[in-house]
Amino acid sequence: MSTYLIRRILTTIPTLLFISFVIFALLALAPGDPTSNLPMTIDASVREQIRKSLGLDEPFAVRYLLWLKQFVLHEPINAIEKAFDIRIPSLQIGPISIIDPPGERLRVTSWSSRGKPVADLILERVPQTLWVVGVSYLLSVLIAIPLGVLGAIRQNSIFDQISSVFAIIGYSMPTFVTGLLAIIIFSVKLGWFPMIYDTTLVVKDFASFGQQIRQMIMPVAVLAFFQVAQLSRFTRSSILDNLKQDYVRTANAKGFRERYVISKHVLRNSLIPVVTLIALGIPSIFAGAIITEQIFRVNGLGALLIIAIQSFDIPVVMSVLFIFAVLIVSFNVIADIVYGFLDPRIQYS
Amino acid sequence: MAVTTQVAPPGIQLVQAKSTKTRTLWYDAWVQFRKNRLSILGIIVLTLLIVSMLVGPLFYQVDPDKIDIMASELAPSLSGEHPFGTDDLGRDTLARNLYGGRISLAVGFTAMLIAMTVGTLIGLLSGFIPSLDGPLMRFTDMMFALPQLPLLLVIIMLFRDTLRSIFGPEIGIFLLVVFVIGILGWMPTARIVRGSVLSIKQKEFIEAASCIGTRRGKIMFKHILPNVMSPIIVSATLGIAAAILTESVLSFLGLGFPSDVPTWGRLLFDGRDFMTRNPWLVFWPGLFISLTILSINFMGDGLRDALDPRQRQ
Repeated sequence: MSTYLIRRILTTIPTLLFISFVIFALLALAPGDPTSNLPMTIDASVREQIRKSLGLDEPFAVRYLLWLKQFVLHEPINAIEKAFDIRIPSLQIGPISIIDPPGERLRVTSWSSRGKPVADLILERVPQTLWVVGVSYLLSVLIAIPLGVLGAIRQNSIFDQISSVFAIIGYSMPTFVTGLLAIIIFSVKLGWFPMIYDTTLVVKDFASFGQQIRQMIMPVAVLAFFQVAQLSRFTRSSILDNLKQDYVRTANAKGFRERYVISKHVLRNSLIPVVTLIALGIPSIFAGAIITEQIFRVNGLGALLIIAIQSFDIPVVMSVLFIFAVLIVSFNVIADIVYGFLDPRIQYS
Repeated sequence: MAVTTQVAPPGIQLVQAKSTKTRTLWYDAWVQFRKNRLSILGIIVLTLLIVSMLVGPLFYQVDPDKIDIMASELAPSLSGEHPFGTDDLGRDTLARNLYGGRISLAVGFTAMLIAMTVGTLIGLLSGFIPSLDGPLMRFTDMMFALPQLPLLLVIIMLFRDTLRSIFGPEIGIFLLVVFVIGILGWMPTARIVRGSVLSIKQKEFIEAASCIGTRRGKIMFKHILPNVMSPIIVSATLGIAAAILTESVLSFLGLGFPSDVPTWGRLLFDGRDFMTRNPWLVFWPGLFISLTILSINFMGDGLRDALDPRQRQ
């Protein structure tokens, strides 16, 4: 198991290198110029200097390697230094400096937000995204699994049919449609919830906590509706698959109560793929949050990406995309490991 | 392995031969498909939608771009001139939705075709040629690890102006959107096709074909491909829904088609600013998108049950 684990983690490195290279190449090859948004009065030589100061005069390969060094080595090292209050010395192999000395360590900085480090920009946005996305994901897992289980046990009952129809409607209606409908009904017509998510709200007492809950209800419900639909269908079919198995018949033949068979035998086995699906779904909810954040004007990670794309802020775009990729790859590994851990039939070698 | 054959009395065989008509795979699938009422409903709704998008503008001859400020932001009325109402510039909502539906459906179909072609080809090659299997599947895995939606947004944003200047605003964006959605959406199909090819490759009829000297290319396209058609059809159906959805997401984020080309997503994006005053502007495109995807999903569910022989009783 441990050798498998190490190998599995090591194979993510080439994958991530490939992804970072593809994204970097795409951004580097794209037509477009960071100085194109500047006023027309700035003349060509100044523009050339600006481009030079952004490091755009270097060859592509050098720029990629420098980015890699800054993002993969310098940023984590800076974070570690800050967190533990230690100093990490420079590292030099031949003429190439792998880790620069503490004072000279360049960071990945944004092109448009006055050269602010990208890591700081991202850290500012993560809490908002996590609040909305995280809560809705938790909620949808808590709702979807009981729904799926009930639907499977009472297959073809009225409850099952109603929840199936709702599930199909749920994953056929895109979040931007349900979101806009929710805004029209609950904020415009009924005036129950605010239309725009206020990220400057600080929760300090019961009144502001209530306000926070009120503004979270709609985005969370919209995201959760979509995810519950998918997860509950998956849970249901996974349980139905297991109910047909021989071991269930054996358990029933032994005279165990249905409740016991379901909870001790069927549920344990059928939730294994569900758990992996939940793990695999976590990165995609971050991407999905791009849409939800746009509907309810939450200024989280997705909103940062959209703004960065529109203002041609390549370092921010590159970093956010790469973070998404890291999330996808690492949750794939986690799902694999969890699967092997939960299902003793899977032998890793 | 010894093969035992039970020889039935000749009389019985004769009766059997008379009573059974030849039934093709597709007839069987249709019989199975017919049983699923929701899928039939899906097919009917989808056909209605497609027909009304294609034929509708011929009967409802209102210019979707005609601006009439005097008649702006009308609510829907059956008796009036604008059955679905008008937007902030007085453009007719029904005409814009019909025209937008054409583009959305065209994007869905074309992007699906690209994704299916690439996915089928890569799946066939990697299932059939062992030496290609490793590299191609590793490549597929890597493509899977790319963050789809963010990457899509970035590509469209970066290459939009270039393609617009080469092919013109409408065709350029159409090509870009379709190509990018297709090229980022082939991976599930490739995996499914590879899996089916690997199992079909072991069957006796493939062995027989190669024994009589059929060339490998012919085996691949004449013998294996028709047998993996059913998973391809199912994933193509669901692929259309996914592509339509992706296109509307792009337009909804303001990164798809420009505002003078109304697609359903774009209409939602434009209508959002006026939603407090005129909610109908977001209601209609939202309804059309949801109905289309809903009916395709129902249809896909039915097709999957019908085309999967293991499901048959």
